[in-house]
Amino acid sequence: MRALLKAASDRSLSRRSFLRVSAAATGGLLVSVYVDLPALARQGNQAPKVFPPDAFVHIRPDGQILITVNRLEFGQGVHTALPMILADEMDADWSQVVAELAPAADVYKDPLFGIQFVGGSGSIAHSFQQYRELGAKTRAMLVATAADRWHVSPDQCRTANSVVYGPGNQTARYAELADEAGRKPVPDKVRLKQPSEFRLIGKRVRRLDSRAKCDGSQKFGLDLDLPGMKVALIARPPVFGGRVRSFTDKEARSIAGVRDVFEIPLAKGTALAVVADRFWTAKQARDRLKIEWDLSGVEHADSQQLSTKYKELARTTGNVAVSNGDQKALDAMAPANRMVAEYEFPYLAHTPMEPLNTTIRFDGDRAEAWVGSQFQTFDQMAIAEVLGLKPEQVTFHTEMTGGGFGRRAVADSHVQREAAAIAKRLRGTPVKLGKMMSRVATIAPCTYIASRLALGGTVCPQHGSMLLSASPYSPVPHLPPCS
Amino acid sequence: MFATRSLVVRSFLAMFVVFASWLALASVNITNGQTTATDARPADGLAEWQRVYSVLTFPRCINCHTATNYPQQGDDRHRHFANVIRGPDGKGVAGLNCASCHQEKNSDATGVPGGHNWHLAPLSMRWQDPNDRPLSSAAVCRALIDRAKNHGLDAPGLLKHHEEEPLVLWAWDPGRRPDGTLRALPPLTHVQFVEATRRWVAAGTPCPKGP
Amino acid sequence: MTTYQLSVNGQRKEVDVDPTTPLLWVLREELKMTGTKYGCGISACGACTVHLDGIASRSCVIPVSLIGNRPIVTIEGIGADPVGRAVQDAWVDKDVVQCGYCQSGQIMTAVALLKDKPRPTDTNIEESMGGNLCRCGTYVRIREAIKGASAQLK
Repeated sequence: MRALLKAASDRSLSRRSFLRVSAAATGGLLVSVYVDLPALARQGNQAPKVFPPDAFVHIRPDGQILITVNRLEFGQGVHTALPMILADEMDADWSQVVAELAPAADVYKDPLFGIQFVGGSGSIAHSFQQYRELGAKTRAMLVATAADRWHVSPDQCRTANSVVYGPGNQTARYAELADEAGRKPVPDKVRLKQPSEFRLIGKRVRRLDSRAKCDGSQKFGLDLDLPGMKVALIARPPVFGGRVRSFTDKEARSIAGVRDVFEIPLAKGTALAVVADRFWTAKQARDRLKIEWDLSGVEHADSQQLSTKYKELARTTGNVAVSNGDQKALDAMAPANRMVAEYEFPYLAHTPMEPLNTTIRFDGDRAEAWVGSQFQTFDQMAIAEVLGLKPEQVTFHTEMTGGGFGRRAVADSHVQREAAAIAKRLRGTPVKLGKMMSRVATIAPCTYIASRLALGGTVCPQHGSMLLSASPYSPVPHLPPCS
Repeated sequence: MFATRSLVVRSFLAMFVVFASWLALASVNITNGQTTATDARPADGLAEWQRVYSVLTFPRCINCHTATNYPQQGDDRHRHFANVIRGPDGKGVAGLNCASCHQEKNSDATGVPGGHNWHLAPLSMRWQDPNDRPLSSAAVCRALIDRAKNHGLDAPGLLKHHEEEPLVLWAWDPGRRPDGTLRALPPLTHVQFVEATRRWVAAGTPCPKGP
Repeated sequence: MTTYQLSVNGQRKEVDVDPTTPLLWVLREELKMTGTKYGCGISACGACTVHLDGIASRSCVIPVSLIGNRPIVTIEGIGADPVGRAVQDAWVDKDVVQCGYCQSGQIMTAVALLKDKPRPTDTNIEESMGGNLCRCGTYVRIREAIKGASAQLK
């Protein structure tokens, strides 16, 4: 028993063992009945979503409250915001709240979209109700437990800062009640707070992850270190779609600590993977590879041609999305009064500060992956596919991540597929693939923010109105001034 | 040695020194075979200066002799990245000193050059205009010999500077770029550069006329 | 492979590595100190900033062979310094961090600035901090936090 309690409060547990302990331990609150979401109940025949709260809230014997966040945290603050929501309804002592990022599992899927992901500003929009209800129901079970002990009605009790207060002088801390509360039934319906009762929601609260990110203790995906782990880097073709025609790796392999050099498939084309004991070794080995690239299958994009094409398209008539002003009056104006300007945006690299990375260990009948993942469901599926496993055979951890800005929102999971291809070859050994810059010091080939063209015009007689037309994906450009 | 009072005496002594130097050089064969000292004439001093100028305005040298508050880098002499700036002593500012990246030696594995006491030449030693364009041969020559600008170096001092200053020597051992290729070297070897300087000094450090 | 004795956060450490290995990777992989981050590998972003003999230095381009006995201080050790502690507290107080990946480097550079200029102006801050990149754009709060730490240290 004591061992289980100790294990439950040891924060350095891997998530897999944490879930096992949660299921078995009698220490801490386990809320083990499923919760329906009203929003989905409204959708008629659709089966109600299932959210076992023991997957979201864990009250430790020492009073610390661990809240599991069903999203990636990469700067936007959801690691703090979702726990705030739950903790508010729960009347938890905020100073005792810690948060963790959920591994990939059905229970952590977005309630509206049915996949585990983050994006589209959906974290709060889709999980607000969910986390409120989780908090409120947890509170209700704690209150029910206290009320039973004191032989009073739950209505006579109130809660604040992880304490239940009875109608007399009775008090009980959540941590004391947790064990027994875990055996209570989870209520179907629960009262949520009025906004006027919020103590955390809508209030200025400091981030939970600040201190660790300021003293070097916060681990990001790239910081992962596992026993026996190897580091992999990839020598990529100079253009999308290139393939390895031939290569010489003698010099690369002569560096002490280099484990292997081999070809792997990319989303398009192929590349060479270098595996070594250390990053610097892998980097030096990659620099010493001599590779002949087959570029025959490469799409021949031409920036100038694209630009010309955009300009032509911008001048054709399309479907009108919005029209403000008097088009006829504008058309009637003298050409001398028109000024037209073009605003062209190039392909932009997103460059999050933390390079993309994935760590995978493949053990034949199962695998474990650690990813700063924005699309856990897709990434887990992709890794499973490459390794010939079912998704549920891949234990998938979500890591604290250094920014996304679009770069991590890639639905083909190409980085995870590359890592899986490498892990497959190194069965039994954890391999961290880092998408690190090459010696040429360019941004590694990546997906880009799309190039776009906007066409703006101004009509500047004394009484003219503005004409503006823009290409679909552009922001509205500044109108050229009249002079 | 030259602590005399009258201008006439000083001029006479200067001419004497030049004559004596010429005599001394007269019997020396220059190893590169291009000229011999016995052929040296005052007009050749200007030719020697042009050779010196070709080195000074080469990127390995001129990138740190800027007129702005930033250094340049690369053969295309673009503004140095990471917002590095001159700072009060040409050594950058706290948190972003030259020494933050540039160590005592080149770091070929990462492409960062290094040398002893890496810093910018003072603004008085600028060889560019505020738009990063190299100054004319005449302008650079005048700046080089102006003791108010060059930290009090006289002609022999200039020669010694070209011979021995570690950051000058660095230009001929500039290390590898981040892509692994060797950085381009100045148009003369260091030996040639020192020789050209020596002969320019011997000719009285003549400067071209003009702006 | 060569053995080097290093002074890291006041402690003697011994490592056995290729002489060209940048200090960044010695810290992260040999000493398992991952607080110092890799952002670019070419000294362009500042995420790898440590203090080397008191000078804020970009560890990703400093080969371990050139360090000698110059003391190294990293983000893990800067809190033991009063200026370091004030900066970290100000960073938390002003909620500077978002993703946080650049912040080890930001803090190390800010500490170097404050040690040199205890009352930095906006221009001082921009000049010193301008080489530390933050894709989340926390620059405004960084500036506030530096001024907050400066006031705290009065």
